[in-house]
Amino acid sequence: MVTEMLRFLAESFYTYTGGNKIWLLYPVAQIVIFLFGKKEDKKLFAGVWILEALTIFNPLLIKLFLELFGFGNRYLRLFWMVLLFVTVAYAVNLVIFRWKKPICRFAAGAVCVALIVGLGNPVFWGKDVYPYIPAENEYFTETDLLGLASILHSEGKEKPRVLYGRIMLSYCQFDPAVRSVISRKTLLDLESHTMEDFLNLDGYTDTMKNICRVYYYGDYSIPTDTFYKCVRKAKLNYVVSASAELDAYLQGTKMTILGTSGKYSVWKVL
Amino acid sequence: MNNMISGTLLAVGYPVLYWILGAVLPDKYQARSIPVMCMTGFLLYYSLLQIIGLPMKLIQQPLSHLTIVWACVMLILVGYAMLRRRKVLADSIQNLFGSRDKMLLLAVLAVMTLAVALLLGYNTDTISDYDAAYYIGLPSASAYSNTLELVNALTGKVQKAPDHFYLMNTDTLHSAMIYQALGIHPLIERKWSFTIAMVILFEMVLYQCGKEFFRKEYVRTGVFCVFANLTMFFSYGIANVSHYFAYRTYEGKSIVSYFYMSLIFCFGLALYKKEKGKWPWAGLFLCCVSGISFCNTALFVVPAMAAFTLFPYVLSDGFFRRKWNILLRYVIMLLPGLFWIVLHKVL
Repeated sequence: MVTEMLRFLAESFYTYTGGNKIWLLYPVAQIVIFLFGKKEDKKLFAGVWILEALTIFNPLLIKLFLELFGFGNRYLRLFWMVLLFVTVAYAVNLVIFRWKKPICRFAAGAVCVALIVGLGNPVFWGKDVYPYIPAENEYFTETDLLGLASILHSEGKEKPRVLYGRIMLSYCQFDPAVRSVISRKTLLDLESHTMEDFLNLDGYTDTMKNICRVYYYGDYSIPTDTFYKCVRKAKLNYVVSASAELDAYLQGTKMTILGTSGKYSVWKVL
Repeated sequence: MNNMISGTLLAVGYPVLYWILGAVLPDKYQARSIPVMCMTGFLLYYSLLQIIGLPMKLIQQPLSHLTIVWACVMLILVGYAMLRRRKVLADSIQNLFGSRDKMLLLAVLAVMTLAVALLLGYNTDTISDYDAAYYIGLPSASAYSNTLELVNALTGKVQKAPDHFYLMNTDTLHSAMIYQALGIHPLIERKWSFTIAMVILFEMVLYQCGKEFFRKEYVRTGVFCVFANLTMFFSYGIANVSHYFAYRTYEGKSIVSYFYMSLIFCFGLALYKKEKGKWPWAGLFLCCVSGISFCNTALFVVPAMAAFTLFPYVLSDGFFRRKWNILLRYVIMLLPGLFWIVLHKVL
């Protein structure tokens, strides 16, 4: 069991750090603080670290914590308590200011910068990190969604029922006056299952399954009039399309295009 | 353009409001320092929101009632601070000024803070659409329906009760109130105004940590703040604090991860450095009261961080030196955390 928990701890730590080598500086920083820090700072940094190692990061006790508090995959969040940036920044300070001469301090600082930059992986512009996407409008959202809102409310319908894809997660932040026929749970199911597995799930009507087969999985083998009947049965007002294939398919139904906003086309259910 | 103007004014307004609220605390909990007052004011703000907002959410009051009550509470507290606590506010401004080194440091840190705030504020890649749909979609739906989280943000369905998983969190109510009262959309309020305000507060925490470590050695404080930011920005990992700070600054769990953890460390550090005032204890107590407002993980992580950070100090300065008042304060500090855990189990 201890080996299993050790492996769990190591895997959790690796997942938390993302394998970022900057974390090698953490034990180094702790040693620097222990050697050169003031007495009360040693008590703070070393004392807390020892306490954490004996309790929440102790392989002998992890299983107990997991069962008692039901952390599950949220165990990673306990690593929030390990303040890498404070520890490293303080240790760097001790290293730099051990020297009296300004040139030596500057050199020590440069070495520290080189270590942090060299070992670390920066946000926004690093390797395998999510990119920086600057705001394109004053609502800090996709501009096409703003146009979409105008179209969906152009006919004056109160709380129109809409079939739309993952964009509903972004759209609902801007416009709460539109109802998605797909719930969060349904979207999660769609994104985590193949079509065959989704069709075998309980809790979904045949109407919803047919809609999802066409709209989410791109299975255009469903006859267009069957799809259209399902759309009407689900009491949909509009269908938002973001693909040329779906547009071509919907053209075979009785739906008409109400408007377009960038890559999105809004089809009206008659 | 009007949205950006009002959003930016709100971004500045938040720290100013927290600073004013920080003056409300009694004198023995005062540091008469702008960063500390902003920190304690923020905690007081969200502690009150949790105490007032949660019961109103449970009894399913309309959002407008909460907005009115909240506006009244803020007016009373701000009015009290401006009328009866002017000296505290004035002292904090006076204490801001000092030697040339200090003013130079503050200028450098102000520029750095502004740069970081604008960088993070302008970023719209928050990675988790699901979480963003909750943190922003839910206030939008609440404001639209004038309910306290009774309408599903995606489907628009009216629910019999707020989502059980997020029942104890009240931060999203705050966005809804701002939207209803000031007309500032949650997309702007969260992604711009609140993001900037949180960056400002976080940098204040780092500055205060530096001040505790190095006192009047302002150059060392500046070096500390710069390297803390550098390390933060270069320690990217999908599940860690760096990611939350850079990409999801306004989200509840992010605030607990980078802000509350640093704040608790800062208050603890002040105690280790033999701070004579009681403001660190007040700050720690308010951390344990207000943390749950942001996310459920705070139920454990916030009291645990406070307990672990202070344990060596309480052991050496309290237990071994028979200073029982330190032990008593330690226990009192953790009581709100225990209360929220019990309430969470009950609900």
